[in-house]
Amino acid sequence: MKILVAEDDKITLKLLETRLRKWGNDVIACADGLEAWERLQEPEAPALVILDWMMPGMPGVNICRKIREMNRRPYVYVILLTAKNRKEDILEGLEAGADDYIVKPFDPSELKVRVRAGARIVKLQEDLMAALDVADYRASHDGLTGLWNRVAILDIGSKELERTQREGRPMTLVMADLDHFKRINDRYGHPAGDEVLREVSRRLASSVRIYDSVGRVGGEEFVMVLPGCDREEGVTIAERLRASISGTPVVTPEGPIPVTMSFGVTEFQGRNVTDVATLFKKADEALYKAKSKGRNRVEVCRSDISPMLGLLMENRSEHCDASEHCGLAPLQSQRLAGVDAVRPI
Amino acid sequence: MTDVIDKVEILDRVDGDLELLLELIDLFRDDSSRLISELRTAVSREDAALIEQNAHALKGSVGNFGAAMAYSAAAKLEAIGGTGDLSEAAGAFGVLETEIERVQNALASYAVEISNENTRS
Repeated sequence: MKILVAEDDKITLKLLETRLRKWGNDVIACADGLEAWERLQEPEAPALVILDWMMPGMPGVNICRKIREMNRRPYVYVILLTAKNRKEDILEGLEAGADDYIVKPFDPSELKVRVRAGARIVKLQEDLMAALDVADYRASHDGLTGLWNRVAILDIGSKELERTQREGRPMTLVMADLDHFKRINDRYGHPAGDEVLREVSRRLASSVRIYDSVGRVGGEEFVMVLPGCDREEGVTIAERLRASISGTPVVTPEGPIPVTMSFGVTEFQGRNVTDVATLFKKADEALYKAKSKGRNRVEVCRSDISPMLGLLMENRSEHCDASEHCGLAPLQSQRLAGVDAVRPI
Repeated sequence: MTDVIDKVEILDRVDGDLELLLELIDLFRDDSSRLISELRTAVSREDAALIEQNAHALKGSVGNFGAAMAYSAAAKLEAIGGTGDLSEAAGAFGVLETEIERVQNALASYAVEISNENTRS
């Protein structure tokens, strides 16, 4: 156990240090309160602390209060060292957040059991925190792919929407769905299907920007939250994702499986949506459009068409009936050339 | 008359580790001399807080050697510093200084005793 000991009396410090080391502890010895407080703020600081009550620089009781204000995880177990016959000190110390106290000159066998009791609490706390971390991770992540799960990505989308709205920045939501995934499962089996989902997830996660979030919201359905991104940038990113999926077949034990993905893009513009659910719905509509227009493509929600994109689409409308995708086609081919060079794998 | 230091208690505290004990005696000699000289200055300057702090530190130190007389002398001076009424500070300091010297001497002879035993064995 890593233990920090702060004591200004050199004899007592030496005795404590020697004893604690003999019992197999890793001891950080501090000669005054200020040094102790500095060491306690370092990362990986000990969770078991023995503090002298009266020390120059900073008395143990003050350090104790500061530790409690820090609210550190895992819990810091504090043992105060106090002189004999100072009941009021003991009461004040426990009030300040100390867990236990030892009276000086200390009795070695008493020190041993009190430190052991402290170590037990610290260990329990650490185990509890680790279990909570695992539970937190499980509650927010998809077990198969390690991406955010539906609840988490909705929450992230909602928070990002609130933030970008406040900051007056745009935000784009991309919804994506693997094309004909059922056929992959039927033909190659579920283990191969799972491998496809895992690999597709890896490609999505590595193709977005560092501040974007990717979640799996259904069997083969994914959502990307792109804060600070307007529609045009969103389409560029979605195109990059599309190319990264269709560019290379997924290698599975059943052999390489070519896969494609359809994408729906929608942007929050500060007035067109009020909540993230609406944004999801609009992205879903765009995705549906991409599916109905032949899959392996990116579509923008119709109500999101900007004047610039709208113009492009109008120019192309004689060729295909009012399809946004036609308008986007030249954009896509331009961008794809550059995208291929950075494709992962 | 009570012994100046309690050897049984000392040995128990160091868990029979004589090397550690010699180190502590060394530490004590230097540290107690420093604290005594700081106390002398604090008493002459009538600095109550500094008296309390240094007397407290000395009390903690001698407590480890079972030096009961020195311990109570230090506790008394610490209490004087705590109240702020320094009328008896000089007298209490005189008593403490004598007691600390006695502890230092007792520990010095104890150190010689230990060293001799070590060479014999």
